[in-house]
Formats: sequence, structure tokens, C-alpha cells
Amino acid sequence: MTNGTRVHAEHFESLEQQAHAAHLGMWLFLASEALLFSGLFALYTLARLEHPAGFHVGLQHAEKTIGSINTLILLTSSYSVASAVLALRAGKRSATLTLLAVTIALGLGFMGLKFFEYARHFAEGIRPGGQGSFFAEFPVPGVAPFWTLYYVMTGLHVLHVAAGLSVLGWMSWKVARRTILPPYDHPLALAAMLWHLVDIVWIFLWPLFYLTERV
Amino acid sequence: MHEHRRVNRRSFFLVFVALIALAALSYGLSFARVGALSVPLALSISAIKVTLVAVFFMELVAQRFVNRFVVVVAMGMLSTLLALMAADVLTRGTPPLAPPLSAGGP
Repeated sequence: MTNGTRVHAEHFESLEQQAHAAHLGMWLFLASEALLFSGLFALYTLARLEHPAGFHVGLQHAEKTIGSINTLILLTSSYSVASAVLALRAGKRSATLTLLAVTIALGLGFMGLKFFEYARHFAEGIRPGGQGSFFAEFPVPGVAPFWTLYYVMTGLHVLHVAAGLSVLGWMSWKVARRTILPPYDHPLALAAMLWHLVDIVWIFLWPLFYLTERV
Repeated sequence: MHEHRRVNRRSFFLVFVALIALAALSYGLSFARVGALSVPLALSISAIKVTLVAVFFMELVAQRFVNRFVVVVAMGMLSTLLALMAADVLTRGTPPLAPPLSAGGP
């Protein structure tokens, strides 16, 4: 398949069947990603149930404003990438490229804020594994697991953001080169699904690491 | 290919507005003292947001049954595993001591 004029790969009966198979495969991949993250969410649940006081201290020192701005950024980026898929389907190549550029810019903004947040925590003496002056200042059981889980879970999420941005960049290139054109438009829809996964994971990380400090 | 009539610019915009409203609700609730409901409430709002993203932005509403089936089964299994794990942790305790054996025994 090289452009929109070729209808489908040889081993499919139709382009519809090919797109359906590709979507099914993507859902299965996303289910495996959910398994990966759910293990970490289970660990978070276990640690929080065993050390509520330590998690309370951790949440009080979270960068709530930065985390909340990042939530707005990711929700908006999900909207823009979903709209890019619609634009491509409608044959609006220029609008598709603009919406993809907006999505990528928002993703880069998210990463920039995230690394700024990490830098602030490091300056406060909060490092993974209970390392740093913060932990001597707040010797409460559960504080170190909270911050270690914070770095591991948000770090894994940032890796997914980077992967998603790479895929969206690649898709933009293909749309610009006209190698993805309607009716052969499902590759962009699949890339958008990967980006939505990034949004979905953050939708759960946000309350757990920024919002639920008052109990 | 898909039933695309249910995913359009208007529905996407409405979903986006709903997502922002729900995010504002989550943020507002974080300042309220709701006691033990804090986490369940926040995660319930998250679950609604994720459902909106999956059904509309990821176009689950327009796809074939088997794709929806994969998502429902995967989420059901994960929820079951997490619930069982939480139940285990929450119901842990020191087991009662066995009564002392009486001298001589039965």
C-alpha cells in the first residue's frame, strides 16, 4: 500500500476488512498496555492502603498547578488529534497537517512542563528510591514509596508521550507526502488511538498523584 | 468501513467540552473535604472521562462488535484483578489464636 489509489493489501478482501483487522490489532495492543500500567496502579493501591499518612505527605508536596495544566494540555491534544482524523477522512489535507502540528506542539509542551516539574522536585531533595534531603525532613513511612511510584509511573507515561509524538510526526510526514490519503486513512486513526492511550493513562495519574491529598 | 455518522465534529466538540467540565469538577473536588470518598469520587470521574475518550475520540461507537468486546473483556478482567487485590489487602488482619489444647486432650 503506497497511496490512496491502491485499495487494500493482497491478503485482505477489501480495504474495510483491512482497516477492521488493523483496529482490532490496535485494541489488543492497547489492552496489553493497560496490563502493563495496571500492575503499577495495583502497586500504588497496595502502598497507599498500607501507608495513608506517607501518601498524604507526598500529595501535599505535589505540583498541583503544573499537573492540572498538563491535564488540560492532554485533553486538548486528544481533541485535536481526533479532529485531525476527521479532517483527513474529509480530504482536508492542510487542516489535517495543522491539527497534527497542534497536537505535537501540545505534546511537547506537556513534556517540557513535566521535566520542569521533575527539576523542581530534584531541587527540593526528592529523588527516586527515597534519596534526598526531603526524606530526612519528613521521616514518615510511605513517603519514599509515594515518590518512587510517582517517578516510575509518570516516567513510563512520559516515555509513551515520546513514542506517541514520534508516531504522530511520522504520520504527519506520510500525510504531507500524500502516502496516506482517503480511503486509505486508517493508519492515522491507529496513531491517534495510541495518543489517546497517553491521555487515558494521565486521566488516572492526575488524581492519584496531584488531587487526592485531602481525606 | 465504519459507521462514521456517530463521530463528527459536533460530537467531538461536545465530548471535549464535557471532558474539560469533568476535569474542572475533579479539580474543584480536590479542595473539598469529602473524607474517604476522595479517591473513589476522583476515580469515578476519571472513569467517565476515559469512557468518553474511548467511545468517541477512539471511535469505539462506530466500530464492529468484536472490537468493543475486546475492550469490555479487557477492562472487566483488569477491574476484577484490581478489586480482588484490594479486597485481599483491606481484609488482612492478625488471625485469631487457636484455643490452647486442654491437658490430656480428647
